[in-house]
Amino acid sequence: MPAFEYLRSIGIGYYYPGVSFLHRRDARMKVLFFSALLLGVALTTSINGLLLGLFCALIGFWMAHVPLSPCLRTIRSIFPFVLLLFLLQLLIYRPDESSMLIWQWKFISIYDSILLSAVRMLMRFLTLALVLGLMTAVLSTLEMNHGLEMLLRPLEALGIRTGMLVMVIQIMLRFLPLLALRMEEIAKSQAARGASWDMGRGGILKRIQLVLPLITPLFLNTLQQSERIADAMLCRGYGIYPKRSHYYEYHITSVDAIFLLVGLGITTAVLYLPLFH
Amino acid sequence: MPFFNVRMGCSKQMKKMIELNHVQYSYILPSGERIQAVRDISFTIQPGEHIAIIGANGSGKTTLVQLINGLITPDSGWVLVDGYFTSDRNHHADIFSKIGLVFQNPRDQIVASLVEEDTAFGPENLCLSHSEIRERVAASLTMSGALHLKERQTYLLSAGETQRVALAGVLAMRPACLIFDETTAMLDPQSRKELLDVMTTFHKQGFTIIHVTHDLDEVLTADRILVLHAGQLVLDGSPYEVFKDEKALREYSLILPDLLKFTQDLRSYFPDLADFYRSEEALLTDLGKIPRSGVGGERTNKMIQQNDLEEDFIHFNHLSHTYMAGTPLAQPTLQDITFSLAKAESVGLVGHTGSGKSTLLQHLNGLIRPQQGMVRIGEFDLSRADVDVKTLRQQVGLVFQLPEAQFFEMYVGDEIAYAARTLGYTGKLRDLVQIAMQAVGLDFEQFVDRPLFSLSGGQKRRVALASYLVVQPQVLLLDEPFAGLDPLIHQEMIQLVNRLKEEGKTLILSTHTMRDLLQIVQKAIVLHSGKIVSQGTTVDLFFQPDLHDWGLEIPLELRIAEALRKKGWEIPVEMVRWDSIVGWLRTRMAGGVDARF
Repeated sequence: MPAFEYLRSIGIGYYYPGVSFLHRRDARMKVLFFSALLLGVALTTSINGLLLGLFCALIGFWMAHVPLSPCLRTIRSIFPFVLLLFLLQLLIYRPDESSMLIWQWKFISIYDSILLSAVRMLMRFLTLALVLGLMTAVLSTLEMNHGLEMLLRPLEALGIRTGMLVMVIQIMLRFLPLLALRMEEIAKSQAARGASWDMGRGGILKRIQLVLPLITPLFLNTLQQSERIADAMLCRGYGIYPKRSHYYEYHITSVDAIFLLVGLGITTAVLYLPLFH
Repeated sequence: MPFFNVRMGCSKQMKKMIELNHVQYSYILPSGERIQAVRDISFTIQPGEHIAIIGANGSGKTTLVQLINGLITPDSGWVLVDGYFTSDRNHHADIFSKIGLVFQNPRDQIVASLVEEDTAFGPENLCLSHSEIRERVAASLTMSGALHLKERQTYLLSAGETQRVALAGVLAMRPACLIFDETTAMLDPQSRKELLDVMTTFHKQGFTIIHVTHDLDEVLTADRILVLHAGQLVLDGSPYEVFKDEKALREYSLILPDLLKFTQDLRSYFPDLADFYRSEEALLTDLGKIPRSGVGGERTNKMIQQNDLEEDFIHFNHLSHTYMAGTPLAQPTLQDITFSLAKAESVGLVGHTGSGKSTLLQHLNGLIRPQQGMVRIGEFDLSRADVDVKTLRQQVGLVFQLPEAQFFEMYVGDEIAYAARTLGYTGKLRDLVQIAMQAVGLDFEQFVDRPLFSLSGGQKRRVALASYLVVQPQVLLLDEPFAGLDPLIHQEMIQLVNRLKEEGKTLILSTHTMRDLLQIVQKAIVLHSGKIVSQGTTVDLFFQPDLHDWGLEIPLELRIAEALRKKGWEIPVEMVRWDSIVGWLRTRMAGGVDARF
């Protein structure tokens, strides 16, 4: 990978405009569908359930005509860390009494229950990443905001300013790629003056030494930029009225309702499919 | 309430768009120090006026703009917009709808990730009905010429496109007044011209236009110019009134616009020319009326001697590059680039925004490695993985756009010494810093221990340049080194770069401004959509038929020379700098030719 294209390492989070079945679903339904599925995948203890989630995510990519490779590349770049966690879990976790020893070599012993939970963790990571990638690919940030805003509206009765909360999410999402670009700029300008960003890896201390001078301008730049964007939002009338209206009109059709029901069905299956031994 | 009735009636009758009355504003620094940014400013702007605001860096222009549209409110005095006090928060919806602000960097203004969604942001905030929002989005995108971009991702747009989308977002608020805050500063000639045309069109449609700029040639078409200096309004008048006193301008760190300077020089030889023109076309039309020259002169079409040095010090061979390869953002930035440059030679790199200039420069000091093809500089072959980048970067200095944005030390001396420290210079850092500071014209004793934030814009740019010069690179790559500088400092920086060139440094200069190009280099490479479409002398460049399509323009001095040539004044075509053209006229006119018309 090119030394400075930080943005390139992020393959999850791109919206792919399109007119597929998934794209055309009502924003609220999509938000609910994916929230349920994400929650299901995050909480389930069933390996079969995780497999089902993974399968559904892949079907989703196919249905939405969204390329899988950027998402896989991101997964690959984080994979070493996950693998490390996998190994740690495998080697360090202590088994309970009902566990069976399945393999032993010198001081390394591997028990079935630990292996199962380590595999589960790996699968969970993979499925979560794919579902998240699919969600951002078919749900634009504005759709997500409107969806969330409408879904959270009842909370306003409790005095929670949900609109504000949602705007914070929107701006944060817009800022992430900008932050990566800014970091690229600053790191490059320091490298041009001899900082060894791309000259191989040094020790931890050396990496920290490199990052420290990066933080000051990154922080300053980001502060300045957020101030400018706040100004821009004020100039365009944000926050003048307590409520905002919407560019899109949202209608829930019967297809949307079925879509959500299917989603909830899948989630239930993900959560409760019987454990496979 | 008779008082109110009188007031309301009065403001309706006079129809003031904007009124400032004894406005004062100051910032408070973290140290507790108060910086007076705007001092006792009063003026009125009528609806439909075209106003330009000029002034050196730090003269208070941006603060003034923020005061006008209510982003900040005065410490004392008041600002009235369409009859509403900006300090009255209840009317901010009216004020923000009335006044649209277009930022210097349009990217700062984009809130959503799809174009149409971004345009809808303002109307959504105004809580308009769904159909009204739809109508406004379509109308604003049409007006700003961005309708075809409607469904595009905002982060995938080019600079020119982003500019239009930002403008559409502002127009969707249905403003009566548009403020452009240094909006043209970072644009290539073509996009800049388009934006200026948009301003003219909107002005004709009845919009009030307020244009803040450093480019003095852009303000001549304004109805009125406001000149700021150290937070004060020092001049307020028509372009003619403002520019008639060159000495006063100097006091405010300003100079004459090139059009007026050239006119003034030409009038010594062609006294029948008017003393003031508002557009280049008007001057050129009048030049078409001067009598044909009786002065003979050999027409020397000889080109500048090419230095056919065998040695190709810098060499690009079929280089191609794709940015963000393998992502939805992937875009080819360079395609099949091949060229060579001899040692101590200098070349200009021109082309529209996004044509690949910065990517090309970054290949030269190894920040980007060749994906396809080869780059060699001296003995460094950058296609090889084991190339010694550290030594390379010591010899090849790449100065980024707006380099002061990347400062990270507290003090001038530390910032300049950074490169020398990281590249392993030991011992007399202080001497190296001193030499670098001398090279950029900063006094060592006076500046070395100054905190960076206390410097002016021009001083910061000098420090930035010195921070690269400190390791005494043989090759200098300058990416838009003059962007965002006020006119006087701009001129000084050109002299500085020329001095470095004369010292024998190999120089590659990327720039949008054709005049800067002519003043520094004799050779130019044109990049268009990542490909080299022309390379040769700057003289040849301006005779290329496709110039316009590449987003470039012929600078005024060459158009003047061409107009004179048509009239029989055989100014050699290789004369591309204004001082040489005037020098030529001077020697020819020494014979006492009558050039009246």
